[in-house]
Amino acid sequence: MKKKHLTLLMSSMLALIIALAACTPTQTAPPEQPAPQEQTQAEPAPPGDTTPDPSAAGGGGLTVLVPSLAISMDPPQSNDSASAEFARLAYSTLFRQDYDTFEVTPELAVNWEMSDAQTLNIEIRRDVYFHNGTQLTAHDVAFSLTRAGDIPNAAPILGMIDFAEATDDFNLTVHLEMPFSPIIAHLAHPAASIVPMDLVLSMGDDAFAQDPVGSGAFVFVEHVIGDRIEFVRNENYFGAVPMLETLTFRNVPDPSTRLIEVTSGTADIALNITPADVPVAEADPNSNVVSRLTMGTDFIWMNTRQPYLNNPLVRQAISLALDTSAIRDLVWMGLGGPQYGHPVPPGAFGYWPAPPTRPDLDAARALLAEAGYADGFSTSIWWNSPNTLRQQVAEMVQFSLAQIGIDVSIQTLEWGAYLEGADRGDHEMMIIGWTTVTGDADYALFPLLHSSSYGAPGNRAFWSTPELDALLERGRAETDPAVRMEIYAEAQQIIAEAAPLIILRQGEIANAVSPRVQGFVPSPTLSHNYAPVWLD
Amino acid sequence: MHKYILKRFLMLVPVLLGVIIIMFTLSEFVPGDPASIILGEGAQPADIARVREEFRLDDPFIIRLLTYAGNVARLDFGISWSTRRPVHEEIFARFPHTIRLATFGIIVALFVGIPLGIIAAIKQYTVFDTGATFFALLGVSIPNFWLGMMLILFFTVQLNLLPATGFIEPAQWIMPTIAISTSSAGIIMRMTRSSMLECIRQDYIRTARAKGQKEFVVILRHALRNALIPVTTTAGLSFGMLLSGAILTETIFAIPGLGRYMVESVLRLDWPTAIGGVLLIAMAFAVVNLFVDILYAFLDPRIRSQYK
Repeated sequence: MKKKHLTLLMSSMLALIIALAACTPTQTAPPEQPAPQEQTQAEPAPPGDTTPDPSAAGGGGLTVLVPSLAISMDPPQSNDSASAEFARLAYSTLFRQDYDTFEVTPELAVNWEMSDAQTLNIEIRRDVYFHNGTQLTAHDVAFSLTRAGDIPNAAPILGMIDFAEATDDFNLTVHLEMPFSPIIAHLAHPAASIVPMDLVLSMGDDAFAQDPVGSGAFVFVEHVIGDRIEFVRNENYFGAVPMLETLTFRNVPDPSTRLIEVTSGTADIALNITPADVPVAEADPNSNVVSRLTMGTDFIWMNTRQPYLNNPLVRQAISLALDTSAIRDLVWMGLGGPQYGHPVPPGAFGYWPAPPTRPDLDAARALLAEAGYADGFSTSIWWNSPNTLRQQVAEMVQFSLAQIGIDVSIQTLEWGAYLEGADRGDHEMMIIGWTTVTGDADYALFPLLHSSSYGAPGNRAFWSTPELDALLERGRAETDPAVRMEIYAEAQQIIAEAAPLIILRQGEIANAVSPRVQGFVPSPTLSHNYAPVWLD
Repeated sequence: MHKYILKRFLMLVPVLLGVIIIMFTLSEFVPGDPASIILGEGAQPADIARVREEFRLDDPFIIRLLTYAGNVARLDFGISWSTRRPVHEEIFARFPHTIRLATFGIIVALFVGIPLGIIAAIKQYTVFDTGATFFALLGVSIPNFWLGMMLILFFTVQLNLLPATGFIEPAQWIMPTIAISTSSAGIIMRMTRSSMLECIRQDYIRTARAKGQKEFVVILRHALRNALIPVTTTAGLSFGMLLSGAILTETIFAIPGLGRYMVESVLRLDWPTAIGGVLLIAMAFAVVNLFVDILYAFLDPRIRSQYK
């Protein structure tokens, strides 16, 4: 009797093991790729030989390791960079930023003109088909833009669209709620991707987001939640058909593990490795580091509603006391571009090169004395856990400002509390980032420094001047690029002088790339281009 | 017995209700506005208000709590605020990975911990005992994320034998299973050892030996069976802990499990998924404990007789 029970227990345990082993998810590696452990066992062969390369043209399958997968596959429903990258590959937009020059170039658009600062007429290509075979028409475009303009997640990019209407099958008019000249750059953002009208209407938004259909260079195949998203190339793409046959995004959250997978040959590209891992990746023969300066900026807000920081002399003194290039070298290990005094990153339209500043402790002390705080004062700086790079920045700020008599306490908050506190203006100084995703000065300056953006929309310095407000409003309404350049140059000078924020560096993304991957160009907005990639 | 099991299942209802109330109350105290996190930087107040309206964030606490509890009773766990997929889809896409990882982990822990514990007990104060105790201590003390990294460095980077990530192919099972099983194995070993030491000093063991029973049988049949009761409790609790998510192990080995996902959800203030995940884990924990209690009855006739 007793024995029976024990045997029963043992055999049921065994059955459980077998059952669990059998119930592994059915999604295995695509047939183009051998299972990962087979790849690793083929160690002695050079990396290029481990994966059978089916086409002499350098096609095959590319595996990219990503920190996170798209939150939504319906472009306007989410604004994280993984969703934008997904949309960039699977869908098309009227315009797009050129990957090399980052200038706005037409994609679906053929002709366009702004009949006034609030109305845009566009003619689109006639040779574009969705992945399900239906033709992409102006009706789809008008539907997509009107819909996106009404979705809160896409509002910072497309909220200014009142509605769009098709005038015939290949012409449409976009009506804006206000004069808005950077609209072309905004229509180049992946949130403005064109979705098939009939399909979205018949499926409903949520179902469409699970099984999206676009007209981009890659066709969505499968999303294994939390694990991977798979694409095949679009053989009928209206642009240059990608050389890769398949593209797989695999979610590997730990950056060091991402790098190890590339160096051990089980993946081709590890996106966004940490600054500390860059030398490791460079030293390894199985990986190259492909990096690029981005449209992102890391900076420190100084809340001008707080005592001491409301004084421009104090803010200038703090600016002068911080050695931002030392911070960049120590925290980001030299990754990133030098600071430039205002939030418009080099490479964006409207960038004004500020005269370089050098840290000068004596001048900083003199400014503090002039402001009446020769003996210093106490203030605080916030960073959001678990972003430990920002913690290091906070420590360096604390150390640097102690040199001029300012006592800085460091406060750690979790992201939700961080944003909520900052929206209310509870902070004194805080470390944050901003990406000018449209590549236009308006998107760097209006949300961050217009008086209508105080708090949640982005202005956490709670600082602006009527003069700056007027310039930023004129910049949006003005259609002449040369005049806009002048307006933004003036605005950036005002900002650099008033120092409501301290730019720490221009962002840079570093990726570890297997030597067999050719033609990979990272994008300044992190929506990378895989169409020209081939495998050696 | 059946009545007892039924009763225990019915007791799940107040447990789950308690979990809902606690999680809902906690989520009230967590700073941050889910709507502004969903919309990200640069969101206008009007858009934030629209999202708050859509997710009924402005309704009174008690209304939201009752609505949610009512929906759960109808097995509707709502949609994830960030992905807009149904919560049950999000969770069941991930839970199987966690169950598998936890099951492999506890099986390895049992197969390592129990034999080591037996050896340590019957060879008390010998090299075997010290060695086994040393490994148990090591297993409990080593942080599993560190062990995970070391395993990857050794087996993937140095030897290029095992894939660094994933949990689908058998070769992918090895490292994560080792990484999460060490601490349970250590605890189970210590528990087996002390429990065995107690048993082998009992009179009936001396009797068994005196009547000439083989030592092997004395240890395995007479001593071990009695020593297993506290070990079962420990193993059940360990399994429950493993089920509630080996967050760091899942992160290092890129296993799309529930633990990692719930941490991400909490950081995004995506409460429907976070609460749904906690509910499922609470349920799993309760069921595992029930299973352990039933197991007692099989192991111990004294307990079995109580159920009759």
